[in-house]
Amino acid sequence: MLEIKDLHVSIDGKEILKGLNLTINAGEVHAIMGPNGTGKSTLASVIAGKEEYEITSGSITYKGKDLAEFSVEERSQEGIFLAFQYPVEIPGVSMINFMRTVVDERRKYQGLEPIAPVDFLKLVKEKSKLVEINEKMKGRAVNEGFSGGEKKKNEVFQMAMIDPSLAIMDETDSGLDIDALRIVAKGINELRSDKNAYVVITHYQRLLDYIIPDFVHIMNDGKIVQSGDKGLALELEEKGYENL
Amino acid sequence: MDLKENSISIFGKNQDKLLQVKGLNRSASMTDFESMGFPNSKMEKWQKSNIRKVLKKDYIFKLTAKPASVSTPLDPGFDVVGTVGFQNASYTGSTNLTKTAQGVLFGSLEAAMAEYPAIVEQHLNKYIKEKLNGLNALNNALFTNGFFLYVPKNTTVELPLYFYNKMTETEASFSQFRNLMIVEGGSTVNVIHSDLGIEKGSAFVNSVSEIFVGQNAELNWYREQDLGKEESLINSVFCYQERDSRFKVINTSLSGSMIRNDVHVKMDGEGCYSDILGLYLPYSGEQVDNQVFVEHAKPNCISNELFKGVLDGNGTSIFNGHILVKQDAQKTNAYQTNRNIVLSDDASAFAKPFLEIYADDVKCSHGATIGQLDQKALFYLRSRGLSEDTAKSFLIKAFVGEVLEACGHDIFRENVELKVKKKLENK
Repeated sequence: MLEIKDLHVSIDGKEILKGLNLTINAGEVHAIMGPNGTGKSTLASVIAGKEEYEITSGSITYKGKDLAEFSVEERSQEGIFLAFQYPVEIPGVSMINFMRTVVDERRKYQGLEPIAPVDFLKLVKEKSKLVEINEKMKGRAVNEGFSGGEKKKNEVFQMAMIDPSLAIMDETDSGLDIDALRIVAKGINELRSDKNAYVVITHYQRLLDYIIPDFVHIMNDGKIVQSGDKGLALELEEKGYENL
Repeated sequence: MDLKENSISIFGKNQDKLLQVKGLNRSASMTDFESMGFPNSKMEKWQKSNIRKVLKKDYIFKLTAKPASVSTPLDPGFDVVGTVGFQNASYTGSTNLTKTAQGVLFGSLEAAMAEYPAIVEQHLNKYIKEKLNGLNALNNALFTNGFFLYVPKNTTVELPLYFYNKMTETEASFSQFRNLMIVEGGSTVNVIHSDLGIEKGSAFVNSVSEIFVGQNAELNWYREQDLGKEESLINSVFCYQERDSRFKVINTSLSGSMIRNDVHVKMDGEGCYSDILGLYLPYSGEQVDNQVFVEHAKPNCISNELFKGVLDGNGTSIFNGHILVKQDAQKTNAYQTNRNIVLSDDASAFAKPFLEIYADDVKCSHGATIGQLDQKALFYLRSRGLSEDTAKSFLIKAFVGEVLEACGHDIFRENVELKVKKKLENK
């Protein structure tokens, strides 16, 4: 599904990713771990298409196509989803209008008619159960005044509404209490299938107790320095990054 | 002949025909105008103003005559207690003044001056004096007509009144428009007001509105200013509030070569509340200038200013907000916010918040921002599959929505929202 080859990425002339390789197939969950400032979030942003980052060499191929050709919104339409580490508050844009437009734009891209209001409400109801999001939250402006946990749940709710092929969860677990973490993880687990893939970026092995990864990668200084199975995360938890 | 000389000469030829009212000395006002002249950009409150461009044209003066052809009165599209329509600054209604069963009077000011001089004299030219400028003096000297509204004591007017003035000619005309709204103690009224023009119009309207809001009375005034690209409106509002009264004005400046709103509010009793809001969208060739002066003369009053603008092309906006809290006005709450989104490199937004406080126990705040759309929010929306244009229009709609939310009339608000949307899409 996704193949990253020798990826070098800079922002404002400073190189952040320094030759990163990663291959992800449908049905897999990859965890990416590593200390702060090693380029994990940059990797997530680059896959989502954030324009400030410059790919200086290497390539990202998604479903056989060169991702560099696609705008942010086209990547989304093609099935890439980024769950933000810091979901943005957008006052004045109602959550429900936003989701409606998101769903309809996707349908348009797929050559479908806009969704019927009844079906839309049904979909919202079904998907909000998944992350135990409450009714009031949907009536509010996007992320405005949401608690940290609500924001992260809202990311998973949107992901469920969109049903992406490749989801990148950028520190979705950070700032979550254990109950919220369980709910978020449960949501992700229910959405997992052999047709989609997940990249879970995290600092803590804690999340991986709930979302069992097929692969664990450790990033350092803009590269993946070690890969393994879930055992690697446990080892990391025990020994720390310095001793790996 | 330049516009000043022309104004003086027009006054000389017509002064005998102008309606006289006790308390308004037209000749003295003309003398004031002669000494002050038109404002210019060297004056502090006219810096950055495009006034010079407006004054440069050769104008025909509009004085009294009824328009030769009256287009069908505008249908506001919602239920009203009455409509007062002007075309090219001339009254178009068949009944000069309407008196409702509740005793509410509305119609043309000219008729009110003739039929109800006692009411008019009590208020006309009373609230304007302290802040007179040359344009105001000229208006005093030369105005012939405008909207008139009188709501007697303890009267709640359920439906809104609709006022409009539509400039429909292509020739460059200069008119002095004068409105008077009197809301007596304990009464409530909503006024919806359109200043309209035509695409190829070239009119310049110098409008003055005087407003009295009596003890515990309430006036909500929702306005749209939708003029042609070469039409201009300078609109001075003088509102006088008695104790426990509430005044709200929203000026939505949608289009026009130069639109200027000078809003002066004097809260001259305890417990007053005033809400002064503005929304403006100057695009190429357009300027919107908002000047607000709020005077807290007595304790325990609240004033709230919110002005938001979206600028594109080489559009310019000016915001000058001045809050004066006098020594007696303890426990004042005064807030002032001006926010601008600048969509192009050539657009300019100028903001000057100003607080002048002589009381020592007050809560006042002001803030002004000029910036671009929030790039993080834009990326967030696009990452969910919204096109860049859709994402931008979501953010702009949300930005201007805060002002429009304050409009208490749903249909009017939706009409304005549609016009805003259209303007944003057709840039």
